[in-house]
Order: sequence, then C-alpha cells, then structure tokens
Amino acid sequence: MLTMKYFFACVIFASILSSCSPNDEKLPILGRREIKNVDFNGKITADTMYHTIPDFSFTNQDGKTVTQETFKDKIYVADFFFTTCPTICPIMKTQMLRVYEKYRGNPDVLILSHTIDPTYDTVEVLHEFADRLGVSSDTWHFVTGDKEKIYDIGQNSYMVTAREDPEELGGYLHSGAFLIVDKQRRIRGIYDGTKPEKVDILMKDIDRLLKEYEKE
Amino acid sequence: MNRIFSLICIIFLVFTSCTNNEKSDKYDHLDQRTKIRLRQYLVEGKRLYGLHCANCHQIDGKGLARLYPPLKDSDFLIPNKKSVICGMRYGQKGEIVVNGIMFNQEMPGIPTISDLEIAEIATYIYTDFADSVQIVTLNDVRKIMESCQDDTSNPSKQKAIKNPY
Repeated sequence: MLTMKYFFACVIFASILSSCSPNDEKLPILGRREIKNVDFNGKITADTMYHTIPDFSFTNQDGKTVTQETFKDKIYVADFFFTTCPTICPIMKTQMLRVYEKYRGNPDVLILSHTIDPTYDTVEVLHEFADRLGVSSDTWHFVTGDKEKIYDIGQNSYMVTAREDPEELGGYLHSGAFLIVDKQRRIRGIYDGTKPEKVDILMKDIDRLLKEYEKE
Repeated sequence: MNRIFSLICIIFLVFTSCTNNEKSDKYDHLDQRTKIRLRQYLVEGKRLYGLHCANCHQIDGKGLARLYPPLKDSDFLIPNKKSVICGMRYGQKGEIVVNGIMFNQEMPGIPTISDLEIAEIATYIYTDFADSVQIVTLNDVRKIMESCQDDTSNPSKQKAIKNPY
C-alpha cells in the first residue's frame, strides 16, 4: 500500500517537473534555403542562405515611411488584410488585437499589417481604422503603398496568397495567415489568424523566440 | 468529508435549477405554441448569427472597439428595428451612434439572405442581446422588406440617436 502511495507521489512530482521545464526547442526557419559558396577571408566555404524578407518601403497610418529599418532588431508579426473586408479580416483583427495587447509594452515586438486594397485603403483610411481599433503605430503599423509591390512581397516573400479576385466576397482573395519574422528577417512560423487557439500558439512561439535572443 | 461534499453538490444543484427556472420565466407570458416557435427561431438565428454577423459584431455581440458597434445592450436596436432588418440584406453605410459612440464602418449586406433567415437572426438578436422577448415573424420581415430598399441606401434618412454625453 505504502509503495503504491510513493509511486503516485513520484508520478505527480515527475509530471509537475516536466510541465515546468521550458520548451527549449528552437523555432524552425521556414522557406527555401540555398547553399552558397562564400568568400570568407580568402577561403571559399559553403554557407546556408535562408529565405529572408527583402528590403521594402511602404507608408503607415501616420503617413510615415516604413522600411526594413523600422523592423531592425525586432521580431514582428505580419499579415495581409483590407479595411472593407467582410469575411475573415474582422476575425483576424480581433485576434491580432490580442497579440497587440500582450506585446504593446515590449519594444522588441512589432506588428505589420499590409492592406491588399491600397487604392481604397489610403493613409487616412488606415489612420481612421487604427484609431478606431484603439492601437498605436508604436507597435502596430498598418501600411499601404504600390499594389504590385504589396502583392509581390506577399506572394513571394511572406508566401501567402494575396490577389484580386472578382469571384470572392469583397473582391480579394487572401489568406488569414499571421507570420512571425525574426531579427534576421527570416520566417519562423505561419499561423491561422482566424483561429484563437492558433493565435495562442503564435504568442507562445513569440515568447520562445524572445528567449532564443536572450540567450545569445 | 463525504457529507460536506454531498452537501455542496445539493446546494449546487439547487442553485442551477433556480437559474434554469428563471430562464424559462422569461418566456412565461407566451403561450405554449409561441414558446416552441421562439425556441426554433432562436436556435436557427444563433447559428446564422455565428455565420453572417459574428465576424464583426463578435459571438457575444459586444462588437470590436470603435470599429464595429455592439448589439449586446445596444441602444440602437429597439428604436431602429427597420434599419436593422433592412441592413441585413441591403447593408448599411454612414455614421451611426450606438451607446454614445459614433461608428462609421460600412456594413455589407447579404443579398442572398431569405426573409425567414432575417426573421430568425432578428429574433435572436432582439431576444438575446436587447432582452426584448419577441418573435420577429416572417410576416413582420416581409412587411418591413417591402418598404426598405430606398432608405437603407441613404443612411441620413435613418433616425440618428442623440448622443447622451
């Protein structure tokens, strides 16, 4: 009887321990990678080149130019939406607001929402939208710009679907994905921004990524 | 130990049964047939609300910040029944004031929504969010729909609620 008790105590103790231990596994680095020969101090060596977000330049809700420099040494969450979207965007914004509330005081984490309808979503429209959502550009940038450039960076760099489609309700086809981009501009996670439980995982992964940098 | 546990259970049961009673009291002024119909409308209305409305107005009806107005405890619903009902099919544009806050986000209509579906959604939002227990019947909706086309396209015709602040 006594051994039984000890056994259960051990099981409980072990499970508490294992639940407390932090998840040390690093987040994966997503996208195509290439092996390139680099000249390193006159010596040619092979190096892995990861998929990264290229340079960009858009305008945010305050009329300020936003580039890769704005996100230098920051982790950021990116998504694509438009303000008049009747389908998934409102849920995405509801969920992104949770991310905003959690990290608004943390200068290392930013949010970048691209409009895929830049013709309608001008700086004024985005400003009004952000203001009504009650968020500030210190943390959350809503950007507009050249339509082709937005679609190009969406499809080719963030690897999400974003294009005009007259068949779709609202006129645009786009995915509800949220992406985590790290300080080296690499994609570290893709999440369904319309599902609260997936956004829970996203926030846990941001915490993990922040820890990765703490250790360095 | 066991005694205390069963006592807690009993108290819990008593409490939950009380709240159940209260809930059915809410519909007590209705006759049996209406009550059954109301329940059918509410079940279907809730499902349709989740499908068509909750994206913006949220499942709990509380809206989102100053972007999408709340339906829950909203002072707009009761005095603006006609534009609420018309808006489901034809959409709504322009400024509206709800609970003292100005909203200005276009609501797209759902052109394919049927009169019955509108009746079910309306019954659900008026009963659950505005706490006014009533069936918005198919006939009510038909009558309202006949008159709405022209003035939903013009929000300025909709009676604005005075800002109480």
